[in-house]
Amino acid sequence: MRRLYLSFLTLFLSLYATGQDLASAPGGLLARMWRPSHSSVLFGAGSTNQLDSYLSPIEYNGPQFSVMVESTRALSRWQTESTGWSFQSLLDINLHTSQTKAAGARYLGGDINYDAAFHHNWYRVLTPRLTLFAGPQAGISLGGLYSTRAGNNPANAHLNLHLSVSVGACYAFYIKRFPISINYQADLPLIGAAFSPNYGQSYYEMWQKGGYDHNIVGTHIGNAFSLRQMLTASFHIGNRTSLTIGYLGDIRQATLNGLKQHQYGHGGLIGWTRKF
Amino acid sequence: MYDLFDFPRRLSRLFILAASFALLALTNQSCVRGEDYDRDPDAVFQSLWRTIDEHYCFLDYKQQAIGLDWNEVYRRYHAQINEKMSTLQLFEVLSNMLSELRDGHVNLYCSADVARNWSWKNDYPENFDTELRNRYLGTDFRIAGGLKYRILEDNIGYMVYESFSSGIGEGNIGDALHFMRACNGLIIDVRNNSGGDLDNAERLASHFTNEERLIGYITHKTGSGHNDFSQPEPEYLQPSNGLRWQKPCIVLTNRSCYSATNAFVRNMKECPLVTIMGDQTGGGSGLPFVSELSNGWTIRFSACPMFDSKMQHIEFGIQPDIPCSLDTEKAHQGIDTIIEEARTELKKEIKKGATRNTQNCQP
Repeated sequence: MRRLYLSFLTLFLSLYATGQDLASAPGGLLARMWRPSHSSVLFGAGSTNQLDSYLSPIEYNGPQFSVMVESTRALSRWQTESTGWSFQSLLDINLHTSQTKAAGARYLGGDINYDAAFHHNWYRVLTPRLTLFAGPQAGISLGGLYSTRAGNNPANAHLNLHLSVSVGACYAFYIKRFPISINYQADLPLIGAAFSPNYGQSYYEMWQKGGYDHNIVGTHIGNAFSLRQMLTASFHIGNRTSLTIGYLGDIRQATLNGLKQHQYGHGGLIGWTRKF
Repeated sequence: MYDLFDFPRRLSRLFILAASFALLALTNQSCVRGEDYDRDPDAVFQSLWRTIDEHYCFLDYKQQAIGLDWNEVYRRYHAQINEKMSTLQLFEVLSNMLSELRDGHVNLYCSADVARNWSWKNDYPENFDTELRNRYLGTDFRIAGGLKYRILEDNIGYMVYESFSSGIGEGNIGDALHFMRACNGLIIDVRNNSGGDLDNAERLASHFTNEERLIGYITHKTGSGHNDFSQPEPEYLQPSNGLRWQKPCIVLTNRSCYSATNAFVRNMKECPLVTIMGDQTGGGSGLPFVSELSNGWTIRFSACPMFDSKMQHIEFGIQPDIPCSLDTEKAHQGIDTIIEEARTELKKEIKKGATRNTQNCQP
């Protein structure tokens, strides 16, 4: 993870240097590239590493596929020359399957995540090409994991609500008059609540007998440290349309009711972005 | 004048501060990791011993009941583990270790074998003969879901449920009871039924009570300690909305009545017109969970203990109200003495009921 931050820092510094050289680039197009209003549809494929100690103490690995629909709109009421607010809506659907090296049982899983964020944008920071943004984000995640091993604990449901801090940067530049913008965003849940069975509690007790035992658990950065990072590059292929490629790193983990869970997803993204 | 941009600026500062703290915390966070795949015999042994130590629900009870000391088990079996042993030798040692638990819900699965301890039925007389049972069923019995049933010559209903894994719905039970509505009594034969779905067990029992009844308790582990359990949750049997049996009923049991069948017998024992007859049930009161060892072998173990209505363990079985056994000599003559004793008992009950009714009707 630290390696990724270093890479980002290096990327930022190199882009900053490039930005100095491109001071004479046409301002109209760059201005459009900086505008935060856009929507993206991105398809992802990558790998996932999963742990759910309710099902197994062993980590599972396998492919994952995702679809992400992101929309960001500038809030025109709160805009100045140098700053402004925007609203981001992000829907992320993941499907994954995984197994251990023993190739015995298999996990089949999926989740739907929705996050809404208010970002405060700082335009033209240090260079006219750089926009930074940060703000609060609220989200809900619903999903589950099914183990083909079956038994009385064949699956585990995941549900959590969280309040996060969302930060990022957007940098626009040219390569031989070909406009490109680089976007980075990191979302870090700070507090929330999540569903979890108790340590050895069966779903039979929960659903058939209506037993409740600390199944809604408060989460915070100490017991459920998670981080989603997205780095994308948009190649402007039309007046308002861009081809977008990128990386999505989604780290989710929690230790709730004595049960350990994690889902480390890494993958590539490809799709398109339309500016408004 | 109120500065429209003042609030957003303050909010943004707050979130920059929060983000800084979060990133600072990030550097101190350790990852939540699981066990790695490992085929080393010692790693597999540790993985199994730890899984049972932290998740098995009867360690404390079995220490009291049968003197099981799980730490002593570790010492005794760990001494048999060495790096050069073959996979099957390792499996054998681990199987023997699990046998110490004397639990039919504990199994270790590898591609070549399934480790089990079936002493709960193998160490006792079977008290059951399938061929004999089928003679009573005849060939013209009816089938409703998992139920087989017919009316015996003395107007007593005879119902067989071979596995609670075979589904039964309210309609199946209602139709079977309706068919036998004119019978003087009912025999439900669950001998050799080794369990299945608890919902089926509860659904069938719900046709033998007219009111909500406390049938037992269920609990689960809340941590890795041997005594880390939740507050026992009472379990109630709700009367069915369908046809309910209002006459004497006898449930026939043997040592092969296990798991969900054990729970069924527990539930029926609380119903007023029901008598349990035959041999003690096999037990198996821990709801089994499945997990995995570091080499990929599957382990099944009891995770959630169930109790009777007096909060007593039923892991080692339930005593019948009327103990009786199968007479092998008479079995050779085609007579199932357990079924015959049940018929006799039902006739006594019917006679008692008739006398009570006559007395109640006297002016």
